Amino acid sequence: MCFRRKTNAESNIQDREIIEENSKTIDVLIKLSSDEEFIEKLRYVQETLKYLAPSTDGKVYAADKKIRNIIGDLKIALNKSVDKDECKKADGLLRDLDVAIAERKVLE
Amino acid sequence: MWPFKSKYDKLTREDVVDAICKLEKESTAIEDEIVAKQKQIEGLKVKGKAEKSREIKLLYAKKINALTAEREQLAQRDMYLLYNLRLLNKLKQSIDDNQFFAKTSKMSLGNLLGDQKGLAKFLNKTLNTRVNAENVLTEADETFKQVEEMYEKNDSIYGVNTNDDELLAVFESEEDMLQFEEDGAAAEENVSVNKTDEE
Repeated sequence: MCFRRKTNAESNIQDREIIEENSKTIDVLIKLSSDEEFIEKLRYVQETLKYLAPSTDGKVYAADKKIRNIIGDLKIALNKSVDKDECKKADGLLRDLDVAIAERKVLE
Repeated sequence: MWPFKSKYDKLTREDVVDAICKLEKESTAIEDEIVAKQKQIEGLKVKGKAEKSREIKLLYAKKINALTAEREQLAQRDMYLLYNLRLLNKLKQSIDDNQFFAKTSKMSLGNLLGDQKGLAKFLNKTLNTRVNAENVLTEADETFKQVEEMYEKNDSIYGVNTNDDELLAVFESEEDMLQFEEDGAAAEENVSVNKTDEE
């Protein structure tokens, strides 16, 4: 039986999948949002997410999972009926997302 | 170990988030319907009041009752959805807590704190280091004191010789003179004040 070492792409497949999923979920958020300024910020975040380098490092994978969780919360906030409190919550979550992405970039 | 995973082991946060989003949408749709029905009811009430024909009034009354019943049914559905949402949010919170505690306990520093023996050993070592450092300082302080006690003041430099003694006597007598003059002046002042009081 012949054993070969996994390629880089095979090793970091989990992280790549999360990065891809995060980037695509932003499309859903863009559709859910009605505020133009908010949509612009989401597009900027999407571009940043697309070009994150996948990694086999556990810390990087945990950071990507954290980003995914925040995106999930943002999806819930945007799905709720639009009122001031939910808009503030969505803005707060977007700020948290920016911080999480910045922390992720430090780990690269 | 049981080979089959339970439903909760297979459950992902994304599934819970999607379920919450779906229910939120349904809840919003029901709330919009309730508001619409309420508006219809208000409209029919106004029309009913303005209407003169009894038959038409009866028709409006039956319509209002039907809409009211539908509205109440929708309100009950919305309450059920809200309760469901509350539980799903609790489930999401539990998943987050699970991930948080699992991640935190795996952190290298968190692992270190789990080793109680090693921690006690390390803390004792730190304490000994501190006590030794303090002892060094106190011993140095004692050495300073001992050396200072051995020292005898040189009278030739700091002591009083006969010339100095004579001058000191002069200074002391001048001080006495000055004090005597001050006392005298104070006494005269007192006497003059007493005189004016008597007058």
